[in-house]
Amino acid sequence: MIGKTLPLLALIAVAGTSAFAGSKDGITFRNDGQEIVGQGSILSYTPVDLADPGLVKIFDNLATKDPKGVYWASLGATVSGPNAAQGFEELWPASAFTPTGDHTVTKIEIAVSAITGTNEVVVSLNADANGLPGAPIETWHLKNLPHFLSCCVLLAASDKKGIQVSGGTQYWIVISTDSSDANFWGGADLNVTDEIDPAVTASYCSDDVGGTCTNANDAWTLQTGKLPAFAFAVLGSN
Amino acid sequence: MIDIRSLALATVLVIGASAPVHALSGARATADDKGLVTIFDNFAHKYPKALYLDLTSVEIRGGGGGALQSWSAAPFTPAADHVVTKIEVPVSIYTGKNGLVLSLNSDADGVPGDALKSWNLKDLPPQGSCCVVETAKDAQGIAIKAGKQYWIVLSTNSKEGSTWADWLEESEDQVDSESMANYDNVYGWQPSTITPSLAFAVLGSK
Repeated sequence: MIGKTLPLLALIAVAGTSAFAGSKDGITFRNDGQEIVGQGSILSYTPVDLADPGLVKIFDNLATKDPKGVYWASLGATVSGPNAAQGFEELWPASAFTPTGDHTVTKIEIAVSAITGTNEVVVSLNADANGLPGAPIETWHLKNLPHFLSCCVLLAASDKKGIQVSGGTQYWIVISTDSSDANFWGGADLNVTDEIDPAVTASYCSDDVGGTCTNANDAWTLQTGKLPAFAFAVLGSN
Repeated sequence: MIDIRSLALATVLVIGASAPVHALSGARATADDKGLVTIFDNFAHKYPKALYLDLTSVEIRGGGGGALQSWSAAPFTPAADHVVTKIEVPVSIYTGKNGLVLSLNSDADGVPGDALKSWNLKDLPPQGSCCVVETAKDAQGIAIKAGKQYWIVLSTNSKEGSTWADWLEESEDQVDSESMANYDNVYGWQPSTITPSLAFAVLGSK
């Protein structure tokens, strides 16, 4: 196949920014490094276990009706720790959801994949702070991530006791790194259920260790409409 | 640590104009599909807001100005005899002349053979325009035979040397590799495989 995705790379490199793009191990990053794009065949396929008996779907953008296409296996929002690579900024993605009613969250399913570094990320359910991710309500360390370009493994974060969320209030799912996985580089695979409606997403950037943030340093920036949200589901009870 | 920025320099990127990062628009016009038989279809109809991967594609390039000409084709084999009256492909324009040639071709030893019918596609949408599909119609219809392989081909004509467009890939099966063929002006048609496969639908009657 010739030049797969190159035109799209070109489109997404927005003029007037320090559009950062490049490639490593056959994986391209673009849009100031905030996206990772895989080229070539899927490396492995693992049928996902989607059985969540008794759980209420509070939010769900997983394409579970297509078991070989639950998420966008070749396109993800970059997750990188401060030590992931020399000269590359720390980047974390976040996607918002707003429950339609009061619920108790007991499980979050998310598609995150690894490229290099410690195979672990931090996933958190965060409150909203003026339209951006606020303080974490609960945090999980998820390990044994599949390699990027795999399908269709979902990671699960569970809380038996549950986390109360209120109808009509915006919350965030944040994928980040900490001192235990500061060299992680991977991505949150995008959803393939809605490429049309502008998803409320945000990106955190820090260039304290390396790189140059296009937007604010050490801060969240709203990215709504720039990409589909990453693929995740929030499950629980009424 | 890995110096990603030094690696980045090895990758040539064309910096586009002030295009939005992801222009979301469009919807597939399916109203006139009623009554048509689906001969082949890999659009993700279960998710009408994500009928295909609108940021994952192969290039179709006219090859003007000394650049490499690049056309692509995807095969299908009807399970029964049919008459094709409509073909749908998701395609977007990146730059250059806004047009492509869509054709239904016979098979010639595993690559596209002669065109049974060709259409000129114009006014292609910009990239990131999910879920627009381009349609080609033939009211009279083109008879095709069960068990025989045919090809949907996207190419360029002599006026489309500057065309640089994208044929988008399917979303519902991102695992299985499928056959395709690539054409360039050095080697001609060459069989290949792709994952995910190129998205398209072939509709008609029995």
